[in-house]
Amino acid sequence: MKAKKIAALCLASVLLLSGCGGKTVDGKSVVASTSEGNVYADDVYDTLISTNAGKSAAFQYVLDQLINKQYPVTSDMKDNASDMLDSIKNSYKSQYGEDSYEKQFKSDLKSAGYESVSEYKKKLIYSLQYAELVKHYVKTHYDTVFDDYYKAATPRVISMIKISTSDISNPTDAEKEKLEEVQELLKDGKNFGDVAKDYSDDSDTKSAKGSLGVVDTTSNLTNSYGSAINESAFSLTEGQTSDVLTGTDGYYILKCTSTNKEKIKKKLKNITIQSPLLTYDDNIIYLAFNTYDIKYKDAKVKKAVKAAVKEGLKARAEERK
Amino acid sequence: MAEYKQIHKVEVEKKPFKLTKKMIALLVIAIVLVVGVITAYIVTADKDGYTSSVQNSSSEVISGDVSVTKKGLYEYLLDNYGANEVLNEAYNKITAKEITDKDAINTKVKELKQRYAEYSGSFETYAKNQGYSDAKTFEKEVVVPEAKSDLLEEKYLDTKFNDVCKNYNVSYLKIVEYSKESEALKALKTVTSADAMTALMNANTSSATDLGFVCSKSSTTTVDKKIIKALSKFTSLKTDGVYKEAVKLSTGKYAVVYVYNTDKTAQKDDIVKNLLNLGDVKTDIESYYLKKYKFTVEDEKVKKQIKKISDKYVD
Repeated sequence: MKAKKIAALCLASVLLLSGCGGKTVDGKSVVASTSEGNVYADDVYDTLISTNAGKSAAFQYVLDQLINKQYPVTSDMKDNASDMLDSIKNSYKSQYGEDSYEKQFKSDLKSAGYESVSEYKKKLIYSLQYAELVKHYVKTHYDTVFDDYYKAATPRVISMIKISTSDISNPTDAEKEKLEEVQELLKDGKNFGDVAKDYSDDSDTKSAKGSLGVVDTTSNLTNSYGSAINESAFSLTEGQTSDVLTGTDGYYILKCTSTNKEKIKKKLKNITIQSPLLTYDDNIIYLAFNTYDIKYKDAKVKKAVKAAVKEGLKARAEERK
Repeated sequence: MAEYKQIHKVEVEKKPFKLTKKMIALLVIAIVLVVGVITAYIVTADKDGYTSSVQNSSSEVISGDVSVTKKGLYEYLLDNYGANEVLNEAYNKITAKEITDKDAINTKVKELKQRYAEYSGSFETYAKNQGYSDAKTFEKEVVVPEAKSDLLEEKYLDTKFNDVCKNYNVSYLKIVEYSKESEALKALKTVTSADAMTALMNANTSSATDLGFVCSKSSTTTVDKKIIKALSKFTSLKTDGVYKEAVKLSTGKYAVVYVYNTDKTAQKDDIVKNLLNLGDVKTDIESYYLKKYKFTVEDEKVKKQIKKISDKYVD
């Protein structure tokens, strides 16, 4: 009797166990069914991995796993992500006010495809992990990356003097006078950096004698200062000072301090998370990926990932034509 | 010493319980299986987990500086494209059953290939842009199923034409807008024929619109929502003519509405063409056939994703 009870328990367990893994037919897992046949997991997988979108997704998944393994989340990354989040929230607060900023922030996150603030924070942390991978590549291939950066993003060292206006279309007499004084001093040969230090209204650059540092075509000066400033920054030759430019919130005078390749290369040698070399090229990730030891054990996966990498590098080559 | 127990006044010998090797082995198997069941339950009862799996799912497909399993990759692909792919594969089975006219399929395939060739210069280039190096494979895997799907939609609208017209309140409308209700009512009285409506529109060109085909699924960006809301009133007209009341629009203006092409059968091709351009109508047709062919999603997570696309696809 006891043996029979144990045997029955075994049988029940087997039945339960088979039920727990989802529906299977002939050993194949069924995702969905119709009266005309089943949709098998293997078929869904085979189809998806052979499409363009599936190939990109396969690459992205492998990249995610690589990043998580090689550059796991650290407490510093978590702290940095929290700081980034706070800074974004503060900017929302100043724009929308204490009472309604959170609602607006969450609504914008949802529009961008994030279900929650914590999901967004995870994405920020991931972006820091991602940056670490690119940073490692840039550090270990600095000469090659810099050469490409210099050709592709035309970097230069720029300084600026800003004269703020309360209304750019209608400057006050005091604002006009200050601008005239700055123009006069520059004309008289006073050092640009000294004038910037004494007269510029730009709080970010004033103490650094007006230096914006290295700017390149991906710096988006248009967003920060206006299109006239962006255009002028890339048309100046080394040592040249611009005319007075009208920006979004004041007058600007720019000086191109250097376009010298070696000087700029030296300036950017210390690769930090803010380095423009990490962000100037969206497709650098494919070059970085190829430096890792990826051993493929499945032909379909190999084909999919390699195709995605090839496409990424092809797009990169197209951009450089 | 033997013990005795009295049952129904019959004295039986109560044997001491002794585990045999066979019983111990069975007990061990049972314990292992029960633990397995509990583990499997914990894993699969996870609301965020997939219950479907690929064969050799735990096998490593990539090793070296990174380890990737087939299961991980399968689930990532499902996260991103699973719902659409499962719907496509199920629908392909249905269209294969419903659409069997080879000539019609070939004609539709030719039509689609021509359209794609126009997009990208040649059909081969289009196929390549979609990730297929072989245009024939693209035709077989994508274009033929799409052709069948299109034909199935046409078949549905053809066979259920009268019901569809009724359900979607299909109408053809011309309107003239007025700022004041009194002006609209005055104008309305002058519309005694199609020619009178044409004359009214010509006299008010800046506020007159021939809306043409309108139905309950028409976009409110092109047709005022109050017009769409009142469609059942317009479809009650059996012959072409002006609607008896001025319709107050969401803009606050008043519209004189003229209903034409009330003989829907004569406009069948145009109505079908217009309905096929509406995403909601396509969804309704697909959900009709999915129900007809007992579409059931076994994987709960995939089911939730499909519901997000449209809750009409699954119960």
